[in-house]
Amino acid sequence: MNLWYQLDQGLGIQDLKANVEIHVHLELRFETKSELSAVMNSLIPDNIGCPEGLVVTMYDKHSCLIFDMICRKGIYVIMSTVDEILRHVIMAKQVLVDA
Amino acid sequence: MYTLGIESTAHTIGCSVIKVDLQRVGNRSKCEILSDARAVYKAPTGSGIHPREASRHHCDKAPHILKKSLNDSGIKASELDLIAYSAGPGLGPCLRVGAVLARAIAAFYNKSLVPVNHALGHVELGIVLTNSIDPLVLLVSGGHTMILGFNNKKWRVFGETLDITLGQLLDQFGRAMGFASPCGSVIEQLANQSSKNYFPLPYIIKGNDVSLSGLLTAAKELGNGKNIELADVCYSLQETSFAILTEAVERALSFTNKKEVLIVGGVAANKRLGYMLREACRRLSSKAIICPIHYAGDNGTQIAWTGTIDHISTGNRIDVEKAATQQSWRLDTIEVTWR
Repeated sequence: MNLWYQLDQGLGIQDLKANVEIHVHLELRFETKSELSAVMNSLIPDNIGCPEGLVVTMYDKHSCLIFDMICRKGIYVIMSTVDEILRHVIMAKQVLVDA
Repeated sequence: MYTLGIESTAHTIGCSVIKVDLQRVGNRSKCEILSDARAVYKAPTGSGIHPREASRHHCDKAPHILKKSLNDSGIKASELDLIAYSAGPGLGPCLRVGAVLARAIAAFYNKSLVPVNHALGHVELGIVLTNSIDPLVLLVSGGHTMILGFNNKKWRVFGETLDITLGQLLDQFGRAMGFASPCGSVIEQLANQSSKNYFPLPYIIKGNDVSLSGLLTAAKELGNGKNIELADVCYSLQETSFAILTEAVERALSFTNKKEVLIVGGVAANKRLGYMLREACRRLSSKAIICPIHYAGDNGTQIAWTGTIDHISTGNRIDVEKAATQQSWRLDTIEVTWR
């Protein structure tokens, strides 16, 4: 059961704390292949061996860095995970531009 | 050789560029610090460090800190020879920020990457900055309270806290009294202003290990009591906790017969602790050496220097894709081949 199905059924965020499988798909576009490759490599070690109930798959396609996430640990866990990944991507990208 | 060191284990995000003369590494090479930029996460008054909030702070500040560090050093990222990052021990979300930063630069510029133990960084930087030879080391910070001596390729623990660290003791007491974290300097100032009215507090030392959690509870109760000057409580807390540590150091010094005691970590900035340790060392014909205050707390230089000597001595490096972090990583498990 995915998040949008749950919301369609009129369930509140409290109902999404657990027992729901949430799928998230992120596509982040990069201007250069070298930046994309560096940022992707920088994130790999943190996204393997995730806790049970959380799966993060990362790959590149064309000029996009793509994340597919499946979470059975509640909405707060997936929100934190997405938040952390996006902050890391933004930081890494900024650093490469500045340096 | 130019090394960028990145520190992010707890409240500080720091970047430093150092220059090391390769010819002198085998013969006590010098660490030339070209830059040392840092930003410190400040928790709301009364609160401790929140790992996620601290990591968000680090993400926001990291690009600026790195840019400042490179600009101050006059070295471009492409000119770096090595990138060292604090891989642990520390707060998971904070460690990951520094690791991502290091990996991104290493991957983009194809540079060697070295993971560094944060505690070892405190010790090694303290030694090189003070020209110590073979010291007994007292590491006192928010994350560590350890007495260390080097023997047979490892830093051996000759005493440590069994519960909270000295930094945690001061910080948690200060927060309970309404001070903003970090609280050590405020407590020291108040203790200096006190009338030296000492209140007995739990003094717990087991063998050569110390226990500070009961002292914290008692000090908080005392501090919240009526008709008691807070300055006197701060004075009593400092005198008791520092006496406990000084006794443990004296015992370790008698046992190891070392001629130097090096004090590193954020609490090394406390002048009263330095005085008590100097007196103890004098009694045992030893010499107390305090790490320069600016480098006593967390900084990127400790990571850059330790990563450099490790890399030069052992060839240690790690692939970007395998450069993980470890929230728990004891200093006494690391083989030190360069000493």
